Amino acid sequence: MPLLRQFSTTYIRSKSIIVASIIVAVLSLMPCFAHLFIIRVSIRALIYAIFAMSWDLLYGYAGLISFGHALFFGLGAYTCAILNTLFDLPPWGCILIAPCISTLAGLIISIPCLRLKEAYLALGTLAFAEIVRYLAIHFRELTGAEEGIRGIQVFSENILFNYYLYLIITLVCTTMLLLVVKSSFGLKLIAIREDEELSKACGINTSKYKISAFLLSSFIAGMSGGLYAHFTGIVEASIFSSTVSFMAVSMTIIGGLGTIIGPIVGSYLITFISEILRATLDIRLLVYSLTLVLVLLFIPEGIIARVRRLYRVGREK
Amino acid sequence: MVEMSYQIVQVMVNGLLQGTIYALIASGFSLVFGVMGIVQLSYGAFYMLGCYITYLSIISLRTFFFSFPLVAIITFVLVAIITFVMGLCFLLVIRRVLYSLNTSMVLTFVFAILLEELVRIILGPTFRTVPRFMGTLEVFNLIIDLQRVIVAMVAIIIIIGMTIFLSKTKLGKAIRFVSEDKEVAMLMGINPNKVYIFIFGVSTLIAGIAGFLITPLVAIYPAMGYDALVIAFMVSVLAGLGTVKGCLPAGLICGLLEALVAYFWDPAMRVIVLFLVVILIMVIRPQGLFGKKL
Repeated sequence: MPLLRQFSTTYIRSKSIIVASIIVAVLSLMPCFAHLFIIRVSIRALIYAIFAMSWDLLYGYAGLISFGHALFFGLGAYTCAILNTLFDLPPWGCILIAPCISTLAGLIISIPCLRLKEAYLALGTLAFAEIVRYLAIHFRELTGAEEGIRGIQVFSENILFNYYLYLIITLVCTTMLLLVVKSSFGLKLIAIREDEELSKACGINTSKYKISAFLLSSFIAGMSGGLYAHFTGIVEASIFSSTVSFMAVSMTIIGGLGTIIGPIVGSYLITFISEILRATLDIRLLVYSLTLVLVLLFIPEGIIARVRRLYRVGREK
Repeated sequence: MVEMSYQIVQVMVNGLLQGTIYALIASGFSLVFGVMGIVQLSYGAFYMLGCYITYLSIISLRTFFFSFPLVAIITFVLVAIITFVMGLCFLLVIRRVLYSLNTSMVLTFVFAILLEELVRIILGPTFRTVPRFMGTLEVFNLIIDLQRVIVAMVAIIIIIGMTIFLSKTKLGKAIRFVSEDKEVAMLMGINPNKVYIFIFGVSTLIAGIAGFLITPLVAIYPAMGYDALVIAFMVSVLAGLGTVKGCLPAGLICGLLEALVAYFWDPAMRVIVLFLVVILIMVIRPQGLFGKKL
């Protein structure tokens, strides 16, 4: 198991293990002391965390910026919704097929996007997402247009079962992504991000690795979309809108870019802020965006990076 | 057959008139990207703001003045000043974190939500319209909307004026210098921060004026900035990000394409076709139709 050995030497350090196990323990014991509402919000945060992590893999490591990540999320959600309501496939089956569909979309999109860089890539992916959004509105027999598809089966009526299921899936995804980015694959992605010409000169097939990053990212995003559909039970065409894409972007950047853990932190922060503010009804989005502006102004490098720096400064003193 | 050709010409004229608005919207967006290298996602929100200022101003001024040109000119000046000053203030607040691409993107996007919500809370989410001031004109069986013609003329004048300003005046040359090479420009005694602040203000001003021009033609609502932002993206990418003068032909192409697709095929397909064409052009010519080679 060379991958595992690499993981044990490069990633596992005693302190990371302690921190990680404390976090996992808190998350898994949360149902014991938290209100049902908090658990529901947590499930939502976990779904978005997976989604944001997939964006982080693409931009934070491979340097490929996507403004249309909602496309993969939405495709996953719609695949689950259609398979579940039209073909009566159980949620377990849907959740296996949905990522494959969005991976296929990732393949189709990544090939023309290979030539694009930075802002052009961002706008190109945005255009793809918009196309799919309009298609979803247009083919109303299949997608139900703006009203979307309702009555999608949930995994289980038991909220605790759902919580643990989503928690385990998130943990598996996180571990997998951490393994991937610490492996030679991840290093090659970082090399491509830093200097594409140089990595070509070093014999890295950049196209291959960029497409692979796209595929992996779209796979995970599609899965999170499927999880979303089976949690909320409703999918609307607005899921393809750029607001959803930017949710992943803001979660990742607030948490910390290129960390994989950062998106989880960002996702919990944003989801909890926005759900708790539901009580304020009218000014919810206002307070939400104001909070984000303040966080970005004062912690522009992301929470994870700030915590690490504080930790380092504290140790040096 | 004659009837058909008249219809096609009519569709094309409407498309071209719409295209000038697209060009104007895109030019401000493209300017900020070209000079500062940031993707300003609050652009659409400033456009929306321009619409709302126009709406409020026209509704309140109409009770005092009866002459339309006077109201229009006062409103124009008002929109220009408010959006320019707001752009400056916004840039001064966020200046510290602006120069990293990702933070600036998220920050401007969140700020767009903030503006939109403010407008929605203060004025409500309903559609609003201002009365039209001008009728239509019939030339050779073609029905031409005079209001759109004036809008198109103003838009073209602004774009051409901006192009001349960038290429001829001293400040315009300084702006181009900073966008070429910031460090060398600093060595030559140009303060890039001042240029950035100015350019940001100009771009929000253009967004505001585009809003001012479009308000009599459409219904306005708080989330309208988003569509304008997507149009700005598409047209400026088609033209090549950072080129102002390329925006005019690219905007006209987009408007024409939309109108023709809507006429010959399906109105629902026009946006999809537009996006596909933009993607195709991006893949074939990554620098856009009129951009410099990457």
